[in-house]
Amino acid sequence: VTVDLEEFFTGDAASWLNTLPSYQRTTVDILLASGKSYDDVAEAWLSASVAHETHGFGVGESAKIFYAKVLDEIHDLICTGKGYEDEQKRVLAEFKQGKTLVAATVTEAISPHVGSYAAFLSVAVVCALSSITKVGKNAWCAMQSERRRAENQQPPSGNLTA
Amino acid sequence: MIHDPTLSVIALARNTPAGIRLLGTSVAVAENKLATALHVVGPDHENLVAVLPRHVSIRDWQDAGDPSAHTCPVIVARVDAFRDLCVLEVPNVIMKFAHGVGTADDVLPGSAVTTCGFPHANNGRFIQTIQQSSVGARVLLPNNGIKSKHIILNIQTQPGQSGSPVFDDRSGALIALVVGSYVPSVQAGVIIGGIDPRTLHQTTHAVSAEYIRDML
Repeated sequence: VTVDLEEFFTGDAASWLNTLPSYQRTTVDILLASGKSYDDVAEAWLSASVAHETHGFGVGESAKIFYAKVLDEIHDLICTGKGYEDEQKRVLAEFKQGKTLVAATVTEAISPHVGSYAAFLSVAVVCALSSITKVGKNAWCAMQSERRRAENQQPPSGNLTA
Repeated sequence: MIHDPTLSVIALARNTPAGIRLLGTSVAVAENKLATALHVVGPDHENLVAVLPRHVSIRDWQDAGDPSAHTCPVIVARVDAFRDLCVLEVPNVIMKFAHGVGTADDVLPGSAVTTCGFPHANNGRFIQTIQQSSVGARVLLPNNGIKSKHIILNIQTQPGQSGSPVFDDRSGALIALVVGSYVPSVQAGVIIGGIDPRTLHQTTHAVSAEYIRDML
């Protein structure tokens, strides 16, 4: 069964931001107003750590979550359904109940695959959903397919020696 | 002297197959919520625990040779990556504490403040330690395009102290959270014994607690 979510990613792209708590929404709005795209904001969120010229005094080594990995998982969930058949059906059912539930479901679904947790990923996911709505779901899916294809064709980095 | 922070300042750790590994410091901000610096926890919330104090009061003799640790699981509930803050939930635990969550707006340069945390936690040292200092400056520090209010404390900090509360000595309120120390961004440094020598100075950065209030 093919699930087509195209009709749900229409209208005001920024309306996804209403699903964020106000303290997150405020900073996202500042960055968007400064000219950053939704994808720029998502990247900034995931790469933000300690403040400028600050050396953190936590003890653990912090892993980095790459936005491309987040996009890969959302692409699988929204576009291909690969590995997310049940979640795709849930998203389809939940669209009628509002964007907050959909954003939460998408975030929860991809979190274990990305290696993080919902509270950390939510801003990046909501920005990605806004980005999908801005360009249209089918166009976004085609763009992501092309990006993943191009990335998979890149030769591995590093020096080869005989 | 401020109120005894012993029961409101809690070490955070990660359970590993080799035992618990201390990560940093957190402070109670609601009955079942702790706040810390996000970089203490990072993007991985697996096996996070709060390490309960072994002593009853900060006035007690803390046994540095006691390897025991009582822990309870914590869940990351709220994240503000641009302020380097997160709020953790501690299920099934009720914490009683006296301080309110205030703002760094309430302390001017020269104001006396007290921090409490777990310095040298990178070496496994689990000693709750109070430090008294003063506010050296009030600064806006950017993080990926978002500026946040920070105070500079005239004191040196060590690994394990990120997330330490900063209390206003006048009111007893939580007014900031330690997030690190100044380090120049212009050149790569060297690490000696787990310490970057460029951080060995008395310029500690603490982010205003008003942002925690917004997350509750």
